[in-house]
Amino acid sequence: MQLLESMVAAAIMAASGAASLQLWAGLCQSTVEETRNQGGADQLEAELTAIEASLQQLALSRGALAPCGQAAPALLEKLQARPPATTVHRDLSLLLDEDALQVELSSEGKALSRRRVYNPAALGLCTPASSLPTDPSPEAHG
Amino acid sequence: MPAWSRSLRPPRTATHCRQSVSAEAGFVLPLAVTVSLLLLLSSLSLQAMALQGQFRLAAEQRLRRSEDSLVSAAHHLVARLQRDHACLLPATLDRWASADCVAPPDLQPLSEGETPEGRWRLLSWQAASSPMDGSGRKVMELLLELSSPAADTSLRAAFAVTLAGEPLVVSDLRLLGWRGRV
Repeated sequence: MQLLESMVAAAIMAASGAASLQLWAGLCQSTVEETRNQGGADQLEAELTAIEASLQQLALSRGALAPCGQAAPALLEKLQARPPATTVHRDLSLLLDEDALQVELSSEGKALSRRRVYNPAALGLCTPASSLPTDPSPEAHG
Repeated sequence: MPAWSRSLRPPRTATHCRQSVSAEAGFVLPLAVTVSLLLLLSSLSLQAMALQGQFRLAAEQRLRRSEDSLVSAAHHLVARLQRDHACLLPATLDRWASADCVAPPDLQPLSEGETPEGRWRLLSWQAASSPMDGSGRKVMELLLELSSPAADTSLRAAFAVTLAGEPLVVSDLRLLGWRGRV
């Protein structure tokens, strides 16, 4: 009777130990993944913040880059000259119909991504048509 | 030894030995069950905490994607105002309908649009600073709402749009922060 009880107790302990070990392994894996994802998300956020800071700095220092409608390529050039501050993957592309710049950031393994569209016209980085100097027309002189 | 003393001592019989062995044996199984349950419960509670952390991270990611969509929508709207309807920039939203410079059908695309995260709607465009505060600038507050059908919620974010120059043109756009969840 005592042998049987000991065997049953050992079997219960072994089963619960194995299940617990499996849960702990899953827990460790998910904790590592969560930490990595959190770090990746923070890096993406930091990169976006750096991009917006440089856009605002550009607006303060340089003002308009080009007439509105043609400023996105100049903005793309300015941002491409600045390398990403972190180890994120950065993809800059033009939306020519909107005269906008699309910024896509992704972490390693592309598990996380961010995407924002910036318009130079909304940042004071282009000269609106209403503010452009008008060419003197021949009629005005004639 | 007197006869009365011998009669008080309990006799060591076979029955007594069996009871002692069975008491020791009965202790092992409940102990094993209790330890196993404690082990499993503690592991499960930790697992639940890890899952909660994953859900929190996923919710944060959704919020950040919503923020990206709202920022993109704000840029789109302000750039469109600047490009096509600059006369509306210094006017508050309630005056847009009566503005002479824009036909009513043209106002519809300015008040809503689509993003990857859901549909955005213009809730408010109002002056955040006095028209002339000495700096020659005027700050307008833009309030947008993003309705996400997947999450069945609506998020609101406010932006500060700085107008400067003569005539007033957009010189800056900044996210002020969230203005609640509906």
